[in-house]
Amino acid sequence: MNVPMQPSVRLAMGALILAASAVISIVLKSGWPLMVVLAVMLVVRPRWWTVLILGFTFTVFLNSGWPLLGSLFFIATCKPKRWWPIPAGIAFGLVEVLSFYLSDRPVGITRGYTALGSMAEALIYPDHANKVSYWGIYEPVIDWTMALILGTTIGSFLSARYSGDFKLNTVPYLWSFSKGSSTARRWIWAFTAGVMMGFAARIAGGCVSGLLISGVIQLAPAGFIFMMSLWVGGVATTFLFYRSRVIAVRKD
Amino acid sequence: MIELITFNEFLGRLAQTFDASTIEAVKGPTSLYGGLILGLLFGIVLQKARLCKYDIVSGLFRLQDFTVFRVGTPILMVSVVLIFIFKDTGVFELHVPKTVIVPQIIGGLLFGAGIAIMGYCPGTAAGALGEGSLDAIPSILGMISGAVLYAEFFHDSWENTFLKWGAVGGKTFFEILNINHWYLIVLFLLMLTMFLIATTMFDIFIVFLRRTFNLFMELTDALEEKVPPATKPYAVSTLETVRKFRQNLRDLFK
Repeated sequence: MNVPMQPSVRLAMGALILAASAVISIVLKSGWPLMVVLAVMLVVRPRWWTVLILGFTFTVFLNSGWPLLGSLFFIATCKPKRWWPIPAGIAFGLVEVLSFYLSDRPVGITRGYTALGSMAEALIYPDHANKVSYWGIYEPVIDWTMALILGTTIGSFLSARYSGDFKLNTVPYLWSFSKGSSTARRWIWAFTAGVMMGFAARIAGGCVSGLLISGVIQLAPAGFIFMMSLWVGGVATTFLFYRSRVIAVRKD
Repeated sequence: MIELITFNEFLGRLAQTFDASTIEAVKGPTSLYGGLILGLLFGIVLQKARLCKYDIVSGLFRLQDFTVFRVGTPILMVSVVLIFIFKDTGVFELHVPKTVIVPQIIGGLLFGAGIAIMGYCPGTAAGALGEGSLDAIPSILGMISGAVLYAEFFHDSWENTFLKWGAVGGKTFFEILNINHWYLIVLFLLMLTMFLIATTMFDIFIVFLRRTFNLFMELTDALEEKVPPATKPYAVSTLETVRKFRQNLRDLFK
């Protein structure tokens, strides 16, 4: 991957690939090859003009102006690695309200994971999955929540890549400080905590986005109860789990 | 072919391009495109607020980094006002989650334990995967298997025991108390404002401790001005500490 290439050679290769994909698109009378190549171009070289080209192509492709507007918005706002907490919180609140307006339901993620579990079981062992009564509520079909999860991953990826914050890592920095930098240990603990969290979300009936935030903003007691118990449980577990390594002291 | 059009024609085409019917097409609770668009926005916001990072979320529970509170308070303030304005004007209806007191307390405690160890909640695990934190993969697999575990072995036997204890139903506070909801909203906003101020003061206090005594690692970097790296390591003389203490006090209240 790290072969040094002349800029002119790189440009020529990019132009060649673009032209080839355009020809394939015209031959097949379908826009998808060109779209895929443009998306790859955006990921490889996240600059403002690649975002603009992709937005413009989607505008032509879908015959609607919104993608271009969205890409302009993305270019204007997403270059810094982080927003200040309060503007970021206001944007988050607007997304929550938009979810009520657009999809007529609050943002909720855990439902998607549960439906994914239902789907996996239906694929592996369909006879048994029909008998489980709980899967009557969570039917194994691809629905809104899975699109939401996919969109969250893609949006976070694009935003991180565009601002240069994308970094592959297997162990978080603070974890390696408190618990050692062993990847296997971190991953086993993450899996265990994930099992705990999925189980707890099913008992309570939602997660942070689906129960806490959406409950509190509608002034439902559920959100407040969940918020308080989550906070208490989190702090208690942190102090029990990390013991003397809770407070990360700087020793440089 | 390029054809020349008048300005009015151009405006007409522009209005056609941003047609309201394109919004109608992605509306509704079953539309996959609507979910994808919302997810994109959600992911961007999560990433920009840095909620997808283990260090930030764990720093909250270690009581040394309150970025999550400073992001979370405006979320609640903005959306509680907007949602009730839109509810009163009839744009959309509320979707109140059902309240069952005992399982939600137990579930919250367990969920908090999970967040404390894992450092991601379900939404931010998906975001962290997009950000390059590969330890979100076992987290997501774990959440799926936790849900399967619950559905397979526990739901049927627990359904009529403690999962029903303290059931209130899908009611809100103002329906229970039977008063106008705007009183509660104003009260809530006041509480949140005070909480935000207190959190910010605590943050300043922590910055002060860090700069004076080298006490915490720098998690909330870059929000303050760039702090020059400590020239003297860790063990400093008492006189030096007192000098820095007074210097920082002067800086803080300048």
